[in-house]
Amino acid sequence: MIKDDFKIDFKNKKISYNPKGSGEAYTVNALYSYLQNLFARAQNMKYQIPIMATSKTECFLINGWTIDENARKYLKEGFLVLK
Amino acid sequence: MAAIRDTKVTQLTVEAATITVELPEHATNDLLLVFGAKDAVANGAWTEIAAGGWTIGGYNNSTGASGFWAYKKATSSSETNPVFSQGDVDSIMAVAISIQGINTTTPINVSTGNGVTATSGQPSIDGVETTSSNCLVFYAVAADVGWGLTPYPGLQRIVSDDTGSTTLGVGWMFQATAGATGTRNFYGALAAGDDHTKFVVAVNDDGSATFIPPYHDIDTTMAEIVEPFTGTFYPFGGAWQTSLSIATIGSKSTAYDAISSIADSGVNPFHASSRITPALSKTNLGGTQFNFASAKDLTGGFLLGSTKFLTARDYIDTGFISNGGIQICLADSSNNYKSWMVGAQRSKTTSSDNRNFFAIQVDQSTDTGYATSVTPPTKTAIDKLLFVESSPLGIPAQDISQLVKINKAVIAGGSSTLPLSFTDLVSILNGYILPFAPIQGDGGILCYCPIQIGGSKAVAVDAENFSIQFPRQASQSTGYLDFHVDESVVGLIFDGRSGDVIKLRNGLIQSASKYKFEFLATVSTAATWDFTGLTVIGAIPTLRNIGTTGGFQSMSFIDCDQIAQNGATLNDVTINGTLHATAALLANDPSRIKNCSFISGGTKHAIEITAPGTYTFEGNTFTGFGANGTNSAAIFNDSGGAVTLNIYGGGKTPTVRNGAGASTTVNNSVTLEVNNPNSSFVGARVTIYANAGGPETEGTVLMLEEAINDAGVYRATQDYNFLGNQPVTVRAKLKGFIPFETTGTITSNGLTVTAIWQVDSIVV
Repeated sequence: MIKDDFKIDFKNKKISYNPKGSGEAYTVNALYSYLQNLFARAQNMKYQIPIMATSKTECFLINGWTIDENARKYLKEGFLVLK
Repeated sequence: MAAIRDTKVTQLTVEAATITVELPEHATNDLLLVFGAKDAVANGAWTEIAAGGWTIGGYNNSTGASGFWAYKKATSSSETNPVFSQGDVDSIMAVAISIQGINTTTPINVSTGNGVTATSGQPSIDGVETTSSNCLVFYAVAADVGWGLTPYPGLQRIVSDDTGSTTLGVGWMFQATAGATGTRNFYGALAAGDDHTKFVVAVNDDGSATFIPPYHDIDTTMAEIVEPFTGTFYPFGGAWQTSLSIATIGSKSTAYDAISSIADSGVNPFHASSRITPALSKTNLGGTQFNFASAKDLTGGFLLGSTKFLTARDYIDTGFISNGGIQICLADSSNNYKSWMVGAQRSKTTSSDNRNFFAIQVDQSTDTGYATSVTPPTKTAIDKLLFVESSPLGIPAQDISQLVKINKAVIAGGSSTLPLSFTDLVSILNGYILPFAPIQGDGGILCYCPIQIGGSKAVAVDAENFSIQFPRQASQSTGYLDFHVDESVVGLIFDGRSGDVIKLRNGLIQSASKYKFEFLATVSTAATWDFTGLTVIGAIPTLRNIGTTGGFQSMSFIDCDQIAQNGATLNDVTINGTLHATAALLANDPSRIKNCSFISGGTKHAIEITAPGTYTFEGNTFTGFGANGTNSAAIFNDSGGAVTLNIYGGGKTPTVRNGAGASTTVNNSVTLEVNNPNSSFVGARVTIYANAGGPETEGTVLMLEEAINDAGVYRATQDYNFLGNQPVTVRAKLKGFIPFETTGTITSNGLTVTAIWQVDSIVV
């Protein structure tokens, strides 16, 4: 489950991979969808959204969000660019 | 009802048996009323010998004076000037009066017919008993002296002139209800044996309630004559003296100077004035002394008089303020005195070539005097007046004329069809020979008299585009020397009763010293009030409940003392600044303060609330006030209890300070709304967060709602207690749509945002 494999640090605006995660790789589009839904939850409405997309295979981290290099290893089928 | 349309005086320059009386402007059905006087040495009847249609109402001949009155109902607006005759060839004069709105069948209600003659004392004219309401009553006196017989204040003067050897005085009053018109007095230079003959004529009105003249309610004394200072004519029995009773005024020695009687130079140009010409002296105050016939009580009002330089050069010869200027000194029988400087070279209120008015409140609380004896004078028993001046550069010739004690003018008259204009109102104030409100330009007056509008007599006033200025309180240090009267003595007093009309619109009332703007407890909500466009500057406003519409609406109070609400409704009123130490408005019912704009310069409160309670507080705004808890917060709850203000109608949330035992809750509910024209918005989660720069803590959630279908409107809404302009971030999110985010500001009108929704085709 993507929600268990990726850790979202709202305070430091950082996305990382859970060392105890399943090891499964996810599409960039799946990460995009997961983050949009996560940030639409009531308790997270106060945060600026971290990601935008121009296509199903090209997304951008925005508003100061970053992703560590280890986490990138678990993304596939697309590009995730820091903007 | 009857009202004077116009008047005209005819004086012959040569002695004659007949007089052709010039008629004033008139119209068909006006009453033309003529009073005449002749210095007749032979008796004989008065007749009309030309024009025709005139009735001799009465005439009287005595040893040396003859008088008559005659009338005619005008049959056109161009009646021929009538010719009246009496056998003696002598000095002669007359006045013609046109009166509109008369009873054309019976124009004369009652008269004294051939009148009454007298040969001693000042003219005192017994009144008549009118039998109808709303009569115009004329008092007239003719005498064989060259000195204009003058009606006392209260009667409105028509004429007080003379030809040099005969004089005619005529005044009028309005008798609202049938009954005795009372004894009315004139004064003049009548010596024992000087004949005079007196008439009273009451004119019937037409009953239409259309023409009601402007008049002073004679039940209240407008003013009393203290002394006319008519040279060496002494109609009131006092006299100028041959020496001074007081050797020093303050640090100044006095020096006697005999007065000169200067013919035809008084306020009434048919009267003499009294002139001093003190010798050059760099140290003395030179002048003369008038001893009253008996000691006078000069309390309870204030004196009004005037002085005038003979030429502009005499102004230059007069001392500066530092020299002692021009002074009026009043003393009692023990020569205890108080002196007031009423003019000086280079002072702000002394003109070199105009008549200079002065006012002195003998029992003033704030001492503006020049000097007072160690023991002050007994103000209720003043028996002498010194008129002195400093003369360091020459011999300044200075005239004094007229001294009256002002009480109050009570304005009555007018109708809803023909309400009184500002000019009508001023005519009452200036009905005596000494004007109490000198006219300034067009539509302006400098008013030396308290004015009451309304009372026991009906009044209808509609004054517009006017300016009333009350004088600035005297102060030697600032150079204002003319008005030695306490604050809140002059001003406007309102007593409109049921059915009255009081409209003062688009006008300016102003003074540098505080004055009354007072509504009496007897005012009625059943009167018609309108102060639209009125600006009141520097007053002490004491308001009352005059109704919830009209009244205190669309007007301004600028830099006034504290406004006492007393239950009055204020709507769309601007209150800008205050002279009060605490708050601009003392409010016992904030719910009657609506749509008002309060403006502060950074100190004092806008409103001091005196009564606990829960009040609606509609549409009021506050600019420039301080923070909560400070002495400049907008609201000062001084009620000693709990006050809740429920703000609505676009009102701004005021800052608050609580007095002892007081607490204040301010509820300013505005609506926050995020909408979308598309039904897909339903279910979207919508939030509004506080940003920095407003009263809320940054990040505070101000709204967290799901959008719904609200009768076809797709929106999320929430009530919000407005505290002040609040910058915010607005977000709306729903799966399948790109998150919406924008910034904005919550104002006193709330916040409405339309979210433009875009489908997110990428999300899975």
